[in-house]
Amino acid sequence: MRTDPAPSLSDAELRRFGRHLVLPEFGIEGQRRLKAGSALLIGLGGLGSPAALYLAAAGVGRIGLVDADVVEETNLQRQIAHGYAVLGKPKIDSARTRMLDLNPDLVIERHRMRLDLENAVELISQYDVIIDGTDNFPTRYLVNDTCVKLGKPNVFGGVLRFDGQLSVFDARHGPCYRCIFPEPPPIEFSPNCAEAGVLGVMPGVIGCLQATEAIKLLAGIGTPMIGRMLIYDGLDLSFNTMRIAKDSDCRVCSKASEDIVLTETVMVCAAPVGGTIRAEALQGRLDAQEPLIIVDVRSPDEWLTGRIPGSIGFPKPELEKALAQANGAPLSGLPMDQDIIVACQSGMRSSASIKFLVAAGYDPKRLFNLEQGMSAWPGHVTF
Amino acid sequence: MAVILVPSSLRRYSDQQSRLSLSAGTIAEALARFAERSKDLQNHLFAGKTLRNFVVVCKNGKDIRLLNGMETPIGDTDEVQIIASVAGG
Repeated sequence: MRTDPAPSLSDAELRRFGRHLVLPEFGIEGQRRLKAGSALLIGLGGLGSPAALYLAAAGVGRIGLVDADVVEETNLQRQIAHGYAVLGKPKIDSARTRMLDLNPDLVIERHRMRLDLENAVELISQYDVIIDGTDNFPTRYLVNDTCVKLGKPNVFGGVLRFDGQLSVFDARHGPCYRCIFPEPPPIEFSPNCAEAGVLGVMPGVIGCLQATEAIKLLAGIGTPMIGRMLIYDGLDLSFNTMRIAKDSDCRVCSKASEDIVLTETVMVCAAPVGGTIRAEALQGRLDAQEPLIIVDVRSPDEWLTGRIPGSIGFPKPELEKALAQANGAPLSGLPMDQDIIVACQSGMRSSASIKFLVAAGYDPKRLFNLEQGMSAWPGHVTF
Repeated sequence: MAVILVPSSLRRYSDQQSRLSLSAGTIAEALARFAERSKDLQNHLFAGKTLRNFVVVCKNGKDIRLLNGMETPIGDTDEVQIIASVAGG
């Protein structure tokens, strides 16, 4: 895709973008195309932060920002568009200030909301290039499906732990996200960054690459990552590019635009086992001094952020190992005839741990997963 | 022996190794051999005998769906990359 060049660049713009203008592949025409172009950044977190700054600095003419969140201290390990001075302020405002400082000619449109079924088409239809900087599967599928329906390129980035992924999904010329990953993983296989962790610089690398792809698309230069996916391994420092295939039976991009019906993606557990308990209900049972055992399966480092009073620390890998060695016998401190509450950071590892407990002979009726884990426990530090 | 490239999210099953060498004649054999390391891993990669649809496998940088799927042959110099979908941002 190429946008039509804007009529002219001001003297200030000619000075600011001088390093672009001397690039023969880019030149003044590329810069004018950027100025005429527009991009929608969905999510201003780890990916969206660097992407927003570089797109602003590069001279994209109009940028939409979609994010409903405010800046929190735990964001600052990776979300570099924000800082201590703006804690508690909306991320779209924080990012806007930084972006305008880099490029005062930029037009920024703030959308303080979450992308949802009601607003997706209206928002995405207004921009040339869409940048997926979201942090959850349901929104990623909504971004994809809407982009396919509207014929928009979706610059995809994803990170977790030390892994990063990048692609450009443009169903007019290649596969869409659903061609590659038709459905999200069940909840127990899809930890988020708060649960599994992420090295702060990982979204920095991938967010910058997303900005690169968006700039290429708008300026009409280079070869976009359509039909390819970059796999970045931060621990090995390797970049591998994979050729990925369009699925002729894709439930979204094989259809005509008018036949694509946007739907909500619901995350489900593969096979939930045991019961669940909310933080308030658990507090009530503790206040009533009911006999119960609380097992915290997070890692010892995570315990430093706070523990439920009286809980037993039993990291998930050690719990699994102990259960495997117990041959069906109850573990020390975990009798089979009492209610056991299992907790982790967000409820995923604890859910998996409950399966191991059941497989080892514990009664599923006596096992309860703390819903949303420690992130829902009052006073606990959340990420 | 062929090499399996393991994403960091699955390295708890590979003793934290990013590359595992193993003998296998096809992608199916390689993944089966890898999955033998843990029931949890088996469950992560497969629903019964079917590769889960949030896991992509590539041989030498090419999605096996562009080749011969799970029956794609592999040899000693081939690299098999496992890609798990990640949503973090």
